[in-house]
Amino acid sequence: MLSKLLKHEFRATARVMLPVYLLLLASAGLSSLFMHLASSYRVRAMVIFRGVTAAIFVIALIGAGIVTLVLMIYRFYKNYMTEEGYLMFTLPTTVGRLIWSKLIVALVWSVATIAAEFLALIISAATRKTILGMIPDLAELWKEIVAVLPAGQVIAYAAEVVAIVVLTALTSYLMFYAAIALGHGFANHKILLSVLFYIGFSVVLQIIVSFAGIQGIVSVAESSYFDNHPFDMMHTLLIGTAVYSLVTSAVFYLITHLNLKKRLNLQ
Amino acid sequence: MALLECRQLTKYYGKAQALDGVDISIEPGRIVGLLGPNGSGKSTLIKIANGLLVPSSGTLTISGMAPGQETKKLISYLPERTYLSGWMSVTQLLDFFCDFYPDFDRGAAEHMLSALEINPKMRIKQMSKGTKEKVQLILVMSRKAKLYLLDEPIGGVDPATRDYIIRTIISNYNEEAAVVISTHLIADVENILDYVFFINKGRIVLQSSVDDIRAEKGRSVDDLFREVFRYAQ
Repeated sequence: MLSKLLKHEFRATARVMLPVYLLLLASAGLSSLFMHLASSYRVRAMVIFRGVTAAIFVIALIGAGIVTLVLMIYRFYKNYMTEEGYLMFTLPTTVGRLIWSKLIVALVWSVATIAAEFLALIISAATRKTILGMIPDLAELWKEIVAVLPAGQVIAYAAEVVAIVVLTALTSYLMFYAAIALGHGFANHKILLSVLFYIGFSVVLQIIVSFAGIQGIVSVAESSYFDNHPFDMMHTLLIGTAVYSLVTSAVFYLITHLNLKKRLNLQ
Repeated sequence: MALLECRQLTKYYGKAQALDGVDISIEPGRIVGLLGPNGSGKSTLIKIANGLLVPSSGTLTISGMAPGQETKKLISYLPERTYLSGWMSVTQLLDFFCDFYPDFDRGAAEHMLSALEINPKMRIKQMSKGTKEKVQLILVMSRKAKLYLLDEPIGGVDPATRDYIIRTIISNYNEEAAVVISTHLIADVENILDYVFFINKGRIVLQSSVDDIRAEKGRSVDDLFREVFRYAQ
């Protein structure tokens, strides 16, 4: 059942996301084209076009990120909290699968947007020389890293960073979902309450990070254990961050689940 | 076993009471009218049966089970609101229902769509309100469900469509299934009803087979409704 929910959610979001990526890549291509033309033909019009297409490209870069975030949150709201909820919540599936289907799709598109933005940046910078020129630099960088750190450690650090990025994205989306689900359990002012709950969550997390987080970093930094195990200090901090994201994700997931199951209040 | 059974079902919205100790039992093989004025608790009862609301106290079971994933397989629900996504075409909706409901009869749906002259390529947002309601009803009635819960199914459509819808409901009727129709437009549906519940202010005020109303009281359900729910002058 989850796979069917995912299939339909991808269908619902792809019709926006794919055109966004197309526009992004097209604006990168145009910007790159006028960059070349303006340097080859020193005409005033070309310089203006170069400026305009570069500006459009920057807007497209920022816009793609915003569209991704807003669409993923809007889908959760529209599909579950408005009239469409009558269809979705009477499907023979569980609330857990309904949440995960939105979450997985949101994560996949977020990664895809980052990939599309990289691709667009490469296109916009594209002369073959710049791209090919990067490869020896990257190889050099890797050599320098491996000279200082064992390769195994580098891979472990990379895995931890990837885990943190994924878990942080998860927390970010779940915080929106939890605020929306909580706010819409009330009879009135649903959207206003959702916004207030979101702000409330942010404040609480900020307080936790400022007190417990900093305290944790200080005690790790002062611990004499790490004097003899230098690699472990960074691992402890990275894994600690990952665990923090995992716990906050779990809390927001539970809030969302509980509210959709027990306090659903469709208009 | 009763298909749908309520025991002392009670629901509060904050302090406002929407259902007050409702006892109902609906057997298979019947078309049942849930009749009451606006705000009487009809939709609340149907929403609880669909798992969209949780009761404040009392129980509601579908084939002996509390509302959940298993009962949702048995129920085909027509809400009073249009729940279709505007961007979807009718064909995409058929795909959607085929995917999620193994009892969905695509052939039957396509037949009804062509009978009501609805173009399957059309998107929902291009349709009039009445056409959306027709599409929704076709989707709901094309399932071979055990229990059909139809909340105001004929509210927004013209009389010709109303007739078609009512004929569709009768043709889906079988010995294992039950149909519950919630409405205040009684004259239109009373000829197909077997049994009625009158509901007012969250309570069942009268329940009877339609034959008994006609035989014992010598009048139509519509007349009886007007009498029971008469407002003081």
